[in-house]
Order: sequence, then C-alpha cells, then structure tokens
Amino acid sequence: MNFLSKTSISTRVGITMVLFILSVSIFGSFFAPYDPDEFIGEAFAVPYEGFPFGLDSYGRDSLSRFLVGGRYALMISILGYLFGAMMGLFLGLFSVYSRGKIDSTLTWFSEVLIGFPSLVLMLLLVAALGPSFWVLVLALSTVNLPRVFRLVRSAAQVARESSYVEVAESRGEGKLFIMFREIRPSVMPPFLVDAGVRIPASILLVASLSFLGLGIQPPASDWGLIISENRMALTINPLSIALPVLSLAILMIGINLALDGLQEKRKDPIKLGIE
Amino acid sequence: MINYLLRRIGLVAASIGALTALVFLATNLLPGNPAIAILGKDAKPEKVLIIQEALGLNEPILTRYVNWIGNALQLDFGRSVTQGLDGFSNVGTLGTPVSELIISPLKNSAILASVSLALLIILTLLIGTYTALRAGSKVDKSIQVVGLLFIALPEFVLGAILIVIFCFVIPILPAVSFTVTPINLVLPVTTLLLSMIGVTMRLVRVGVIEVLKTNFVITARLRGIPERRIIRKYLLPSALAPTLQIFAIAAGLFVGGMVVVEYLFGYPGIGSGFVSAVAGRDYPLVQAYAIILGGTYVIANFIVDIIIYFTNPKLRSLRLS
Amino acid sequence: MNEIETINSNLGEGRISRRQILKGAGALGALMPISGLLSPILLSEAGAAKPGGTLRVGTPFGAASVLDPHVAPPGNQDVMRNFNVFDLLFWYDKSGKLYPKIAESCESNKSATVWTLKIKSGVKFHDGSTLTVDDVIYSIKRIQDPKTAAEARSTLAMIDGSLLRKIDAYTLEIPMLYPYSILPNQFATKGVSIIKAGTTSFESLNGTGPFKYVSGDAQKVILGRNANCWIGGGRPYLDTVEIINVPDAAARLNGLKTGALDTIYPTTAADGKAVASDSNILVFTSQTGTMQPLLMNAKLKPFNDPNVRLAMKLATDRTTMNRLSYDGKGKIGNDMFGVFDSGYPKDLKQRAYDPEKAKALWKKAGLEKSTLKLYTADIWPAQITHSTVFAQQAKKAGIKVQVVTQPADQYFTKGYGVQAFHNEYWNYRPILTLWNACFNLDSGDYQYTSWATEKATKLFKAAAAQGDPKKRDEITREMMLIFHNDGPYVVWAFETSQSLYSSKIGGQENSPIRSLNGFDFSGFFVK
Repeated sequence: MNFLSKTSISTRVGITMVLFILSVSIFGSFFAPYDPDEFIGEAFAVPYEGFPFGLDSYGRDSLSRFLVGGRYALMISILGYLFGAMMGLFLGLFSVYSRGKIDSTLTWFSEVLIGFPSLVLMLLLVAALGPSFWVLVLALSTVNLPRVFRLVRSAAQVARESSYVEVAESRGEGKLFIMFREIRPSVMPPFLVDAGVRIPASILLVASLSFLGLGIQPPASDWGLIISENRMALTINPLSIALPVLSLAILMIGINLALDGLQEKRKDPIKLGIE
Repeated sequence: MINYLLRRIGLVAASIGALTALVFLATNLLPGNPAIAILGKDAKPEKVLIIQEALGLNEPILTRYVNWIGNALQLDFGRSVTQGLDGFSNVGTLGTPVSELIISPLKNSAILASVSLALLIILTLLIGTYTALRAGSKVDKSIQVVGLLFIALPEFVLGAILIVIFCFVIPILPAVSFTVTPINLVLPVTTLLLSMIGVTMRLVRVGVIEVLKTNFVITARLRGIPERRIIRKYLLPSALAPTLQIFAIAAGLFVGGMVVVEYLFGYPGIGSGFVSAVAGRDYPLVQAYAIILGGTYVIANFIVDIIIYFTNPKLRSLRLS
Repeated sequence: MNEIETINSNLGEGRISRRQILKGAGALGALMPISGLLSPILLSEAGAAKPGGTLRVGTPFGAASVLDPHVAPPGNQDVMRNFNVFDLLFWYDKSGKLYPKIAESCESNKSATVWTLKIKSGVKFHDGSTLTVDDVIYSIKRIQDPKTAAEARSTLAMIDGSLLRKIDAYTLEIPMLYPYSILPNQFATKGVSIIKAGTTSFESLNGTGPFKYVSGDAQKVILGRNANCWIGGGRPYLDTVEIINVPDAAARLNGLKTGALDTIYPTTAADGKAVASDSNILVFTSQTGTMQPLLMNAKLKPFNDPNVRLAMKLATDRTTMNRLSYDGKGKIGNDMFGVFDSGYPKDLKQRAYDPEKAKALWKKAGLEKSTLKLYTADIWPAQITHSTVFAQQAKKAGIKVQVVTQPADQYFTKGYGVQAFHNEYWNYRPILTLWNACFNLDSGDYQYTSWATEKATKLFKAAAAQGDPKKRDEITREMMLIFHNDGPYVVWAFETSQSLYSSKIGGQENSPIRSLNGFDFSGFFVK
C-alpha cells in the first residue's frame, strides 16, 4: 500500500470524511437511545428533554432513526458492489485477454449499459421485481458491473501486451492462470480505489431510490427515506432531517475530495464523479 | 463523410436496440405468471386474468419481444395496465394507450431539459473559462469550494433547501410546479443546474487549463494579441468540444437528476411519470419511459458527435477518448 | 364552537338522544314524511359571502378517465366532480340529519312496500331543461342495469324497477321488492346521481348541480358556476373550481403554504401540525361518522378463519392510531359501523388492544411465520399513517404485516377490491344502508369482503321491513353485535375530518361525512 504516501491532503481529508460516515452507518445502531420504531409523542415535536433532535412525522425519535438509518443502504452498497465488481473484474480480465471480437462486443455491451442512467436502471429492476433488499442488491450489481468492467479493462490493457504474458503464453500456461497472475497486479490499485469511491457513492444512489419511495420501504429507517418523510416539516422541526442531510453531504464531499486528490497526482482525469 | 454518418447511425440504432432488449428483458424477468407478480398472490383470480389478458402474456418471450418491437416502430407501445381501467367492474376494459399517456410529460420534460441544458452550457463555459484563467487565485479556489458543496448535496436535498429559502423564508417562488409556466420552472431548473454545474465546471476548467498550456495560446499571448481575442477565438472554441463531450457523458447524471427533481417539485414530466409507473408496476408504461430515459445517453453522444463533426473538423482530434 | 358544531359533537358523544333529533324531522327513520324544509345549509354565513373567485383544490388524482357518474369514481377528483355537477335526491346536513336536495319529500305506506317520491319543481339541468321524474326513473333504471356496472347498484336493489309508476311530472311511485323502511337514506348515497333521461354518452356532463363541468384532463379538472342553480340564496358563490392533480403529499402542503393552492385533500395530523402556526392557513375540523376500516376478505386466506379476523381486531392499537392519524381527536371505533345510527350499540364494552390474546389466536392458526400484506395509498386522510401504525403495533402481537403503498392512481385497480387486506372508506351511513351495500346475501355487493351469514341476512331483512324505529333498532343492534365479533372490518376510529384552507377562503361548514364541506363546494367563497 505504498501509494498512500503519494496522497495529498485532499485525499486524506476526503477519506477521513468517508470513513467517518461509514462508521456511523455501521455502528450507529448501537448508540440509538430509543427504539427507532416506537411512537413516542406528537409528530414533528421540537427538541426537548431527552430528544435533542425532536420527533419525526410519526412521532418517533429523529436521532435514533438516523443512527439506524445507514445500515441497510451500506449493506446493499457493499453487497451490490461485491457481486457486480467480481463479475466485472472477471469479465474485464477475460475480455482483455481474449482480444478481438469478444473484446469489442463485450466492450460495446458495457458502453450501452453504462450509458443507461444508473438511477433509471435501478428503477427499472425495481419495477420488475419490487423494492426489496435483494432486488436493490441485484440492481446495484447491474449498475456496478459494466463500470468496473471498463475500469479493469483499461487498466489491464497495458499489462496484456507485456512480455511476461507473452512468455507465459508460449509456455503453454492456461488462459485463466495467466489472467489472474500476470494481469491482475496492475489492475488492483485502480480497482481498489474505485471500490473506495463506488461503495459510498452507491449509498447515495440507494438514498435517492428510498427518497422516491422505491428503495428501502417504510417503516424501515433509511436516510433517503427520512428526508422524504420529513421534508414537509422543514419549517417546524428541521432537525428531523438535519442529520441525514449532513451525513449524505459529508459522504459526497469526502468522495469528491478524495477523487480530487488522486486526480492531482495523475496525468489523465479518471472519470466523472460517480457515473 | 456519408460513411461516417451511416456508421454512427448504425451504431446508435444497434445501441438502442440493445437497450430495448435490456428493458424488455428486465420487465419480463420473473418466472411464472407476471400478472401475479403485478398484483401479488393474494389477489382475486378474476383480476389476475384481466391483467394477463391486457399484457398478452401467453406467448413465448421471443415472440412477445418481436411483437413489441414491431408495434413500437409503429409508435404503438401497448396500453397502460393501471390508467384508464374501470376499477370497479368485473369486466376489465383495456387501459389508455401508452403513446397517449407519454405525449404531455414528454413535452414538459423537453422544456425543462432544454432550458436547463442551455443555461448549463452557457454557465459552465463561462465559469469554467473564468476560473481556468485565474487558476490558483482566491476567486478560483472559493468557486471550487462552492462547486464542491453543490456536488455534495443530492438533488433532493438541494431542492428541499431551495424550497425552504425561496418559498418560505423569502416567499417569492412557488414550491410546486404542476403546471408548466416560466415561474414554475425557476426552481426545478435551478436545482438541476446547481446539482450539475459543480461537476461540469470543473471538467471544463481542467480542459481549458490544458489548452492554456498549448503553444498555440502561449505564442498568441507573446505576440501581444489581446486577451479578449484569445478567449474568443481560441479558448472558447477549443473548450466547446470537450464541453459538449462532457455533457454527453453527463447525460446520464442529468437524467437521473431530472427524475428526482421532477418528483420533488411535482413537475409533470417523464421523470415523475416514470417513478409513478414503476411504483404501480405498469409495465408497458415503464418500458416506454425506460427506453426514452435510457436512450438519452446514446442520443446525446450521437448529437454531440455530429455537431463536432460538422462544426469543426479540426477539433475531432481533440476529442477525449 | 358554534351551535351547529355543538349539536354535532354532542351527537357524536351521545349527549343528545336520537329521539330528540328524530322528533325534528325524521332523520333516520321514515314513518314520518320528510318535508321539504328550506335546506338548513342556507342558514350560516350567507351574509358574509360574496360572489366570484376561484377555489384551487390540490388532491392526488385517480385514473382520470371515468366520466360516467354512475360508475364508481376511481379517484378523488371524480368524486368531487360528480358531487358538484350532479345532485343526489337526499343528503346529510351538518348535524347528520337527512335533508332533501332535489327531492321534495319521500313517504312510504304503512308496510314500507311502496314509497311516494316528490321532487322539487323548477330545478334546471345545465342545458336548460327541467328536472322531472322521467329523469329519476331513467337514473334508477340505469343504476339497476347490470350493464352499467354502477357502484350504487346494490344501494337501489330493493326497488322494483319494472313497476316504477309516474304519477305526474314531479311525483313518482316506487314499489319495493321487499319491505324497506329507510329508502330516503338509500338515495342519500354516493353514486345515486340524477342524470338527464336518455343520456348515453358522457363526453359533456349535464347535471343539476351547482357547478358545470368545463374540462378535465390528467392534470386538472375545471368546474364553472351554474348561475341557475336550484339552491338559491346566491349559491354557488365561486366562479370556478379547479381540481388540480398533486400526487405528492409534501408538494400539496407546500402548495397550500405558498398560495398555489387554496385547499388540499387529504391531510394528515402531521400536516395540521406543520401549519398550526401559519396565520395564512385555516384549520377546520369536524367530527364525522366516516370510517376507514381495515378490510379483510373473508373468502381469501387467512381471513377465512374467524379467529384470525378476531386476532387482527385485538392486535389493533386504536389509541396510537387515533393519536397519529387524527391528533387524538377521532372517536375510537369498536369494530361496528353507523355511529350516529340509533341502533348502534353505544354501550358495548370497547374492545381493547390486546397483543397477548392476538398472539395466541394467531399462533393457533399456525401463522407465526407468515407475513400479511396490507395495501394502502395516499387517497384518504391519514390512510398511510394509520396503516403504518397498525403494522408497527401488530408486530407486538407477533403478527408480521408489510405495508405496501401503491400510487393513488393505481390503488383502485391493484389494491382496493383486489387484495385480501387493504383499507376501506365509508362515509357515514346508517347501519342498514351500509349493510345492504356490503353484507346482504341477496343484493349486497359484498365482493370486497365476501362476508355474509344466513343468520345476519335474516336479521337484516327483518330490520329492513320493520317500520317501528324502536323495534328496528333492537334488530340492528343484534346485527352489530354479530359484526363486532365476526365481521370483516377492523373499525378503529371514526374520522375527525381536518381540512386545511388558505385563510382567504370562507364558507367552511361542518359535515358529518368528510372534509371540505363534504365536497359540497357551493358554500365556499373568497373573502
């Protein structure tokens, strides 16, 4: 992991922010003072004793709901990444190695898939299969697959032509073997960086879906959902959505800062945000 | 030239074809009876039959796909399975044709999109160039920070905040836009603009900085050509191509943003129509919207390529890969 | 509270006896002729009202294209339109009393087998023609015709349509297929709109109501003033009513707050709170007999088991649902309906939220592992709210309920009347009227609940034939007791209707039916 020393302040600050929000997602539920589903009092009650962020649209504790609200999005993002990226990695390596028609066809497919706006693609799958946890995982995998494919492919291109591979080929080693042993090392660093960006960014995508009512379903708690359910009370108890808004904002700023920092060190700009 | 055009068109057609296959496949994914999928297994059997008939679900999938494409080419996208149905009688009448349902939203979204895009292009060029020229200065840095802030906020948050500020704190704008009037467009357009400009401005800035480093510009400056002329004659045209390219690539983000913004403001376009169709599992409608929304990237790239090709052959080589 | 509201709330609380009101004008019984009094709605605020202005109503639309007023309207905009473009013969006034609209009177013979209906003279349709009993005959026959698929078909099922006899232009003899003692209440039911005789197409709508149908599409329905309205007294005051499609609840509230809308429907308790301190917005509440029970289809699993139905009722936390839906101001329900009816067993012990007992019953039915789906939508006030709270509180009884929210324009094709478990909505109706519509084996349109028993149907027939209100009340009471234990509805509360208006709108009136003056827009004016 020697590239850490090459990072700029931007990147370091960005990564810290992202990691902070991820920890809130993961560990938040342990700190929730109340049962997030308990109907405690009146809707949109302003903060009072024991309830620093007041109550939400159903009279539940805003703080507790926030602390519990990052889990599902994070889990979906990680799983969606794992499945999509593994497939993308494999197909990317395979495509680069195979060259020719296979390569160009697969590339063309992935370009078409990438062109499809990720939100629309996810909504499409939700339309077919309903908004459940695993459907969202599947949808995210579908979004991640072609993008990781493209990344892996461009990173592996160079290695493909190297002499090591030629030698291994002439030695008669199996395709698979060569793929993983020779090409993969040059692919890993950008791959990992991409993971670090893509997973938090997926949280935002899931939040958008929940906001539209087509992601995580009520009464489960999710940051996007909390924002949607409480936005009518922005003038009464804005604190009910302050925390989810801040978290999503910090997450995004962190990602972009980290990306910025990385870009400063490279000649060619990597890619456009999360698309 | 004709060759190029034909090739590009062919590519676009193929891409859209692949898209339609993707969409069609996605909405017919489930094994078993899709009608049950739509209504759920607790539903009354008679109602399931109605939906089944409406969707024509009895034939194999390939046949259905071919039929669907054939119809689509004649602009018949089937009928909605939720709108226009006589909900209470046992004799289900077929729903409103999808092609009727999408006309008005399509028009509305086109208005929203064109206004936002036009403003976005202009503002991006201006700000991108401006900050590039003053790269490293305080002004540049502060604009960068503001831009970052706007990228960070998801569209729905950005929109909600704008609503609070401009509809309640200083009540001058309408918070909902169910009709399409100039004043109703202000907030949705602003939200879209702000959510995208952070990204596009920075990329244009990078592009312009690159151009500033070229010999071309350096010699022009050495020769004493006034800055204005340099900007007008060399920078802007050079920045235009990559900008357009960026927009083509950003079409995806833009469409996603539009879906959320339309929903947030209650704007009657294809974005909010799509959300509502998905929520109701109105498959024919979902398919039509998905193709339109999904195809924007392909079409956008195509248009940009054509523009670049025709307006400035020299710049073709400047295209980002 | 003004006088009318006091009466109404006293009525709801049972502080005035039914008898006192009955003496007044035969509200719920029908031995006494219901004479054509000047409509009580004219009494209030007539002085302050001035003509002119537009009312913009924000509501989520159902699927828009059903123009036929006899077919069940799949959306709020259709209900609002029908109620203002067409008239019913009778309706309920602010205190829950039946009063004649375009009818004049309706009396029956001793055995309640033949009724004589008199309609008002001089009532004009929008096209200028005069209302006669020919129009009433045509409307009744059309509603009874199975091909029309009218929503009020079972409502008028007791009328012998082949023997309707026109006595003169304004008098009609209506024989019954079986003795039925509360026919006027049947006429005071949604869907019994009187249309012009001979109407077969509904491209343009020709009614007698206070507003004319100007235009309608998926975004907006526009109604215009009927200057020759029979109501008189300057009504309707408004020039135009615009019913605007706003599917998103937050957008509706924002629209009201920023003045883009003058009133919105439906609203939740949370909405009321969100505007409580806003001086530009008026909050108007009235206690209604309207309910939103949870409906269980007794033919589909698992609700075919009466123990399961009971379990659901025990797993209902009525107090919390009331608190979060109606800000605690609703009237807790006891799984029975017809709360203003004299036959309603007010004294029956209120069923309590008993998760332990519910759990035991649920377990006995072997359902611990299953998940129930409750289908809901944002159409009626606090619909999603109470469904969500119900599901959450049912968890404590070990009953897993998943709330499935459908878009408003699709609820009526995919949820309501289609699924086994969903919300239902009934405006206040007397016990027999509602029973006849839903649970009468012979004519009842009970397809939504598929619940009817021979014993209960026998009781119903006896009650319907019983001319003596006291005796009738005894029978309906028995029917309600059966329903309380075995019925397919969880009636958890009666709605406190909350309406939110821009402060520049006047003419708000109490309605025992629902918000927005019961959707009667003729009384509204712009201050």
